[in-house]
Amino acid sequence: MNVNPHSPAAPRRVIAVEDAPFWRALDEGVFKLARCPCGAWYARTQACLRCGSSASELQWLAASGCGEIKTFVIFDKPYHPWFATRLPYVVAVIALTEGPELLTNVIGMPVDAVAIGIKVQIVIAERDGQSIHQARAVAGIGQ
Amino acid sequence: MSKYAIAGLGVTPQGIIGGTSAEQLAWNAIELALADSGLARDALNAYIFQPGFGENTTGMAASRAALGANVTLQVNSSGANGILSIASAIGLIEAGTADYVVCVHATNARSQAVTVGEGEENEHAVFGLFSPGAQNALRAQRWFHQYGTSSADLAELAVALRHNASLRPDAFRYGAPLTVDQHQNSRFIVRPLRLFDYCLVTDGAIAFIVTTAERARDLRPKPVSILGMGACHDAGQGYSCGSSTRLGDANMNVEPARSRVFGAAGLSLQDIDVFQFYDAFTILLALQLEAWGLCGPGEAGDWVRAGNFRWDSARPCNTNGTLQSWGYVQGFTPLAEGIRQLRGEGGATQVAQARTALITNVGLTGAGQAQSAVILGAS
Repeated sequence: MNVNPHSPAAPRRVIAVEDAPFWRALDEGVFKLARCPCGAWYARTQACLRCGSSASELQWLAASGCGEIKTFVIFDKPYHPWFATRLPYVVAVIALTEGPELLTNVIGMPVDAVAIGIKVQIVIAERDGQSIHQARAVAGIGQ
Repeated sequence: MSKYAIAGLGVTPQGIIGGTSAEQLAWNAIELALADSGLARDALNAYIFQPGFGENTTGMAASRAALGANVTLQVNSSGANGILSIASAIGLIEAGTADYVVCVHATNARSQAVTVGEGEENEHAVFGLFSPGAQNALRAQRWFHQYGTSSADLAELAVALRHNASLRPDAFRYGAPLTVDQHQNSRFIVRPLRLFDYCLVTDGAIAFIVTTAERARDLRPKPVSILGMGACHDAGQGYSCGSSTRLGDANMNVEPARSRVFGAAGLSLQDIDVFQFYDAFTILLALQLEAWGLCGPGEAGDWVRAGNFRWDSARPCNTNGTLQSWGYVQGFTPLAEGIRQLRGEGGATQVAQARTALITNVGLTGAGQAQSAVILGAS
């Protein structure tokens, strides 16, 4: 981790015991989703919020990474020093094809071009030494 | 007729107080509530408090308020705490553990220069989503898309809230009306929400005393009856609840809070004389106006533009400008104004013949989104 006070470290991923398989797969380059026996899907969760099953019941499956922007916001000011040099940036809720929603950043397009309904593909990126998921618009589709 | 009542209210000045701990503010509000009720300090035997922004109240005020307290209880459902404190107080009385319960919330976030959300270390931080405001901005963007509404619709709510507050000398925004243009020209905090879509950050405290209706009759103020309560919880809507689902829903589900609160009170929406909705953000207020049925989905802006919502309209809401323009004591702010209206103490924005008030609280908690509602009645 970067400890230089003039170059602040990015916020760290919060990894719970229950959603560790999600992050482990991401570290190995695979975007996985969890399916509950009841049929509900999750990107990451600590239990099924529909039937109450524990996370150990969830099955982690490689996912398509296809989805569309359900809603989004634009940050113009930093609430954390790492983002101060990366403004403005977009945080969006992505409705994934398999059903669950995923909070992530939309990258690769001007913030003012981001719109609800744009089709995106989930990609895996490095952020300060940790793998995270990001969403990139699928060219020529959507809008 | 309800078995329980609110028999004492203490409201400190709201604004930039400075040099005063949250504990001291809590104590000030308790002293005001005691003076209002006519109760002696040692009559209080239970104390309910909540954490807040800025310094947190922990127990000093409790120690002073109830030297012989049987129970001190911290509730932690964020913005939903005010009404859940009443429910908790009734529970303590029913259980035989207390007779007079003081509920208090104090904050000195303004003088502590708190920026809510700054430096949060939850699961959203790595993606740069910080603050409850951002979650509500996600909702606003979706609401615009789903119903063809815009920031100008949210401006109507901010303007109406400020109108009500501008007439009230006890409001932080007293004498300072707002225009739609001023709202539209205010800076973005998290796009698409602007400065005037956000609640205030102020210093101040509110306390009230819950007891049985029978005991309340012997106290100084006219008791305000607790006619009905309801609550609901949405595990998928939490800002930080261990799951990334449904953060940006543009609809609020108020069931079963709605059917329970009306069922318990034996009243319907048409029977409510004055409303006090939890208004931490304009979009949160818009979604509640729609969910509670004052207008249809997507219609909140038009409904307020048509003249509703203002204190002197047929549908008076948030009569002192509440969290956005009066003072930020979370769920206690709309509660205190509901109590005042029913006691005829609403001053320049007093609703004529206010006999019933519906008050809502909304909290984003670690376990999801908590909503609570209470109907209070004049005695």
